[in-house]
Amino acid sequence: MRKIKEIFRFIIAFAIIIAVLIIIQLFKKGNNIIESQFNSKKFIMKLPKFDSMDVRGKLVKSENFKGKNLYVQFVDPLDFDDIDLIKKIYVNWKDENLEIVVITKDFERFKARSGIGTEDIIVLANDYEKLKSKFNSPQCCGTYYLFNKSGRVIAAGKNVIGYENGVKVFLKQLIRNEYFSMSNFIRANENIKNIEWFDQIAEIIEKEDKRYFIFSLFTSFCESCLSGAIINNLKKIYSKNKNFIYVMCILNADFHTKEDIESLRSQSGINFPIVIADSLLNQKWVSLIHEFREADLTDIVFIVDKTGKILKVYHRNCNCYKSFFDFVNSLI
Amino acid sequence: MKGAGLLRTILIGILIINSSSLIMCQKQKTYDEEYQKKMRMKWLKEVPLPPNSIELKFKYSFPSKDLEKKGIYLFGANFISNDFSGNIFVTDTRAHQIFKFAPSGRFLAKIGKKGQGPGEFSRPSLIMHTEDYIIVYDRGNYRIQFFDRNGNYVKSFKLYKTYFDMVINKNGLIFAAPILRTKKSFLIDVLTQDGKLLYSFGKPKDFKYGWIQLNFIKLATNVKGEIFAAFIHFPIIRKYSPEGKFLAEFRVRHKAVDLAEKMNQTRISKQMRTGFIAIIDGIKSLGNKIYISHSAPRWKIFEFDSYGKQKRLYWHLPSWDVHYTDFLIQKKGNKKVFYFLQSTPENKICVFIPKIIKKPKGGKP
Repeated sequence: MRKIKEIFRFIIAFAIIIAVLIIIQLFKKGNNIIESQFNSKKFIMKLPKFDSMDVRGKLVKSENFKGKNLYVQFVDPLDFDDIDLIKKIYVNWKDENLEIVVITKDFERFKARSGIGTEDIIVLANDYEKLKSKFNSPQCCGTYYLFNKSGRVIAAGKNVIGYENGVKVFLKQLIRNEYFSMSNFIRANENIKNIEWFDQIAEIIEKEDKRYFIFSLFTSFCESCLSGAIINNLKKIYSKNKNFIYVMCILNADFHTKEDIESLRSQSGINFPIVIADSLLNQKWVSLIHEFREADLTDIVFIVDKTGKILKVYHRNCNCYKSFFDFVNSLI
Repeated sequence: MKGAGLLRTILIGILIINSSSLIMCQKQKTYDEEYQKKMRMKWLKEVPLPPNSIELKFKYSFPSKDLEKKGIYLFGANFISNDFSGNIFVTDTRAHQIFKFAPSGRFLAKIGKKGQGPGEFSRPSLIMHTEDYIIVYDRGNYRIQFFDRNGNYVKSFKLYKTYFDMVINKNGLIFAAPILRTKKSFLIDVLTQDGKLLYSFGKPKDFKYGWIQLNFIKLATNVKGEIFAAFIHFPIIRKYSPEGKFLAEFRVRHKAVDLAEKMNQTRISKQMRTGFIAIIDGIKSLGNKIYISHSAPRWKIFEFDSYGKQKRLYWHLPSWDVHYTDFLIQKKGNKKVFYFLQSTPENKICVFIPKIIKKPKGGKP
């Protein structure tokens, strides 16, 4: 009995030692994983602790940013995307309630290429690699991080995504409390005839003798995008039900010309109408894109009945792709 | 007793899990500089060069460092081509611009800037040349843009698909290899210069998993207008007529290529979906010859005639950290000049010529 107990104790001790070794290994491994940070769970969730001397010789500590909204960007001064992003952040947000920190390995090049001085922003140029590791930033490219007043990450991404489709919307939410809502453009249960920027669509409903009308609005129109999947679904619906469902694609006039329609029709094999948005629709559409971002204002699909009532709307942020097409199929 | 048995089972379970995890952790290799150098040396010994292979000699590189102050430098260079005058064009996907150089390396011009408007680019990926136009695949904006020989914007058309590679043949038709979306898709689309899809051809290889990646192809066309499609992950080149008729299939034959293919076959048999090794890095044509590049362990260029017969092997052994993303061959008189587009450790174009093997007096070479 005593022998068995001893064996048990030995096993427990052995298991504990191995567990400790594994934990040490995992910690080591965790520090090494940098590349896949933006696709993995190793993504930082709050402002890491750091201290570094800025280019003016002042010690900058992470604690200094407590209670402040903070934007941190890693900048390679030779990278056009990195410079483009920081310039837009600087021009649009330097006078707002936001601390801007640039981490670069070459301050002189940064100054020359960006034209940004050190009066309104903090530039750290001494510990690039160390800070990159602290922020778990991938080696492949420059990244940005946006922290709220309690130091939590609000947004982070690769600089290559750019200002308009990247950080702009998150800054608007954090600093100005401005949120995008699709209901500013289209919402279910309203009548399309009462929405002035949808006159182009109202005319079609009047003219065409069909029971239901599906309209899809695209800024990007490509097979590999979400638009490709939507178009495939629309093709199937149209081919089966062309007698009582009208289908049409409307392309944003800022991204497409009339000449594009024939080539896109030929390449995509679409046999229902594709048109360019009229000036009224395009004006509203583009103003919302400028205010928010293109990614939120593409791949919008809605179904309207003959009276003009909007029965259901699908867009990227509603997470209702399946339910939209289930609804359309249920009507069929 | 039941409790003791349960405890024992739990402890043994923990022990097994811990031990296996520990072994797995230990097995994690660190791919640092020393490791990479060691592996490369091992591979170089394993894969000797065939007799009569021709070493390439470095001549010069460009653009020069002095140009950086004027904002002329490459950062994300990924494709190199030449026009009929021999001028060199490089696409830079990070600068969103096209750079034009004289064959000597002298900087001539920059075309475009980042944006969505006419003449602007988002990740320009490929350049094709006709006598009238410089044709750019503006990948991020899903379009093809046409510029005159002076770099002025002329016209464009939109693309519905994402393309992996494109070439233009002597009749001005654009042959484009799409990233496949379904197993029923074709390997090559043929587009007019107005963006009209004329026809598609080429049966993809069929795999249960990873079939999209495994059907990535690069294209070249010869003076006859024949189309050569090189599979990236296999040492296989298919030859088609301009009308899309399958003419022949041939292989790159070399031990390094065979080893890489074996690794990919193992991955395929394990039903992996990604992580296949690139076997063919690029395919280019010069006259009636086709050139295929393979990067490991040496940078090699295989020369084929249009019947698929492997003729020559040119090689160069760069430093371990050097990587070339693309290449170009020009003929100057009887001599060939090789332009390699280097992406790491810095972006530049390196120019090489074949080393002349001096014949000893009165003896064999």
